[in-house]
Amino acid sequence: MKKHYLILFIFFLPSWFCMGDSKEQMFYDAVRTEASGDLQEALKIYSNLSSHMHSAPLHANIANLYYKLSDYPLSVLHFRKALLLNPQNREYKSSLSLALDKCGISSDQRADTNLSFSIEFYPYLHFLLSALIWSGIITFIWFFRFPLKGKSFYLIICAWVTSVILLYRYYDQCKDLLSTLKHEGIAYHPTELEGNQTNEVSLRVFAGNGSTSNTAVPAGTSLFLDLGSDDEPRTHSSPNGEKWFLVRSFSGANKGWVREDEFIKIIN
Amino acid sequence: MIFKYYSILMLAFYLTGTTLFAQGKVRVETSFEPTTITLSNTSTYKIIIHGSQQAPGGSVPPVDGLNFSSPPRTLRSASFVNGVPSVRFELTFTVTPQKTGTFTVPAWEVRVENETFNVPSAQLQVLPPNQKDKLRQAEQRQQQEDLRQAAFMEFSSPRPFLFKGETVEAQVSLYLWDRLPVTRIDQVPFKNVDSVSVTELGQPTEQRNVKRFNKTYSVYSWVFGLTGAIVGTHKIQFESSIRVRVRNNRNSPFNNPFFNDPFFGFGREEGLQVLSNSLNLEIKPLPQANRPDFFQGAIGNLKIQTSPDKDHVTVGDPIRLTCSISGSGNFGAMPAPVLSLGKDFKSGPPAFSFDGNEKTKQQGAQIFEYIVTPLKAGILEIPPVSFSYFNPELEEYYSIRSESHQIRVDPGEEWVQPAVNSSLDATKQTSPLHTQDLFQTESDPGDWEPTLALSEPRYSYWFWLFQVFSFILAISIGLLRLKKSSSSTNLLKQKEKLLAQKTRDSLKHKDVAGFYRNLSKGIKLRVGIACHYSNTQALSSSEVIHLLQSSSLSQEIVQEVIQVLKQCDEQEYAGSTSGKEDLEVIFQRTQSLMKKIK
Repeated sequence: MKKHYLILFIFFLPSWFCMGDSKEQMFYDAVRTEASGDLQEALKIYSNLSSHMHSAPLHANIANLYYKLSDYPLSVLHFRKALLLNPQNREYKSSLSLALDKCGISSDQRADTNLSFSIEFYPYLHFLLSALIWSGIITFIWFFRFPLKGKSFYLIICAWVTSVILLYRYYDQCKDLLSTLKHEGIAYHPTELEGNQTNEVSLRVFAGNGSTSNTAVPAGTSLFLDLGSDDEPRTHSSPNGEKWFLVRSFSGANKGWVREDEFIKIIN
Repeated sequence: MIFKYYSILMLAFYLTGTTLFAQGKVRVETSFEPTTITLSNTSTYKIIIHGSQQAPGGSVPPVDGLNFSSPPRTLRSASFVNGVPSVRFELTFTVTPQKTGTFTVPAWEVRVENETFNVPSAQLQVLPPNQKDKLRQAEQRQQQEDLRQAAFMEFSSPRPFLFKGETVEAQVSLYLWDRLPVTRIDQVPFKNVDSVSVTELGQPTEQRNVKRFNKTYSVYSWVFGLTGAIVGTHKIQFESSIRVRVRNNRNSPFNNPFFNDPFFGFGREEGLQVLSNSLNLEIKPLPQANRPDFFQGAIGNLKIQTSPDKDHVTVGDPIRLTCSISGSGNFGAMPAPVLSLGKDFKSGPPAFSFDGNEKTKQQGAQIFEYIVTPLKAGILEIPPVSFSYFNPELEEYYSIRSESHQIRVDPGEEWVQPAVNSSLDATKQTSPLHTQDLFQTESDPGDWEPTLALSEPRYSYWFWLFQVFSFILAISIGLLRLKKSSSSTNLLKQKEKLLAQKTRDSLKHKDVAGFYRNLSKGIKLRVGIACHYSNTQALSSSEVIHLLQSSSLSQEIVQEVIQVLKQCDEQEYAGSTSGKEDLEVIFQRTQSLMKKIK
């Protein structure tokens, strides 16, 4: 059996390396295609690539292409994704503001996009906290004997407890922020606009197409899934198979039901 | 039924008889068969061991001019001779003569059943080849020559030497005699050395009715790129194999099936190895003299040309800069020229493509396509691209450069951040807060992430492994500490018991000095345990008293201990005598005092 696995491994190993090269190649192909002026084809290559792998420049380039194609809500979505992976990039931040401006979203309707850390850092923070707690326990067991005494002992204990509390507070803040991000999506108008139709997404009173709009938000606005008592998003499935989400705006002032295709989550 | 039992009994008797009764006197015989041969024939050297069936030990002595086959054929036999059972063991060597003359295998010794027996000498006479042998040898040579001419290869290189890294167009041709019933070419020609590299040999070109050696051939030729890899003179040969159909004929005197049937009739398929001529090719190193600094290994006769796809762009818009290196050279191993674009542009790694003879990759154009992004507005210049190569015919280095290109770069769309408190402070609207150019296309993909989804550490295998490891480490350290602590307490208790015993012994033997010394040691030990001081034995009585006073023990106990210690010191060093009763009283009092020191 082990021999079969080895053969399979040897068989698939070259394809693994090929895959490693192919994503870079696809990226460069897309850049070249964009340079040649074929924006739709470039977008197709980028989108194909982004369905398998992610990188900040990749999402930024997709966002830029959507911007050039005047699809500003999707440009906002991809700039947000790029900022998740590279939160300190000023160019992405300014371009996102420009895209939001094109969507007609005023500054008070904009969600806070200033992440102080990259989402890749979160698991490491978890590990760091865990390591700090365990290192304190192990040090305590190793170096100190009962009865507890001495000034230095209490100083070390205080320092350790303080660092654990501070790190935990930071970790908790990150967790809250990521939890919010997890339920955040971008309002999107899935159909082509006709005549004088405005590019706005309706937040409906009931989960149904015939329902009257409670309010409407410009496409590209950040919306947040409304959570139930079980901390799960409140959803509804209509008889024709459509899925609906209850969402609210960043300020919480606007609330209503949107169809699944009108709400694109930033983090899948 | 009776007959059956009788037969089995007889067989058993026979076997027992041949193995037991036949183990009589052992005798060894040798002989050549035949004793006289011609040089082109073989003889057999036979050793017969009578009276044993066990394999003998020993080796035939070497004889100059004779070759003995190895391993020998063996034969065990058993028989009845005149009603007497007889067994024997035969060893047969095939002997091939190397020269004419009379050869004698001298007498030698062989070990059978842990005994040594003498093997008698034997003689073989080898005569020169007779007319029949000569005819047969000539026929064999002719057949081998015919076979070599039936299928052969020719390898040719345009020059007798190459420079290391240089690529030339070489050719290997496979000649197949039209009468040879070739079913297929099993393997395309491959080289026998690693000192040169060759491009892939694809489909050959076919040529019919080529005359050679008064025979008609079909010729299959492969043209390929030959690149020198290791410096030195190398003998290069190509090898291939073909499949031919032959008739099954087992009675061939030469064991060569190709010529047993002149028409190569239907039958089985045989593989036939075909070798090319050996070519001595010298691989020379590239000269060090006058080598340009930015020479990267290009060899040939080359030209360079660059062209941008646009001459009017906006800041951040990518420009496709095509750099073409054409002519003849080692395109298979040609690195991309390094762009020195300065601070006005940024560029990514180039895409490679080759336009030319794909078989040899020696003639054509290597195209490098760079994506260049202007970083500022204005009339910018893409600087010329420098490239160095070595010309193997003129044996000199050359440096060439492309033309520079002027690009007009527009500033592009600008973004003005809207004023946040526009309604509160109208005056701030007049001046833009911050401006920045539009986003520029990234030409580098950056670090890849397999997913954008949040990875929860609690679902991570490594996280739980770390937790389990830390937990086990903490528990282990705790247990180790506990064990260590418990063992040191036990040690102290044992020490205390020993001291108490010694004190009792001193009391029994009226050793007053020893009694007080052990008593003092016991008290100090007890104080050490109570005050968590590891080595109180090394302290003087006054230091122990100081330790006691800083402890949490009651003042009454401390005073009592001080008194006893003082008494011990006085008695031990001053040597005052006391009665047995006094000592016993002191011992009892000290014991009760020590119980109070916790």
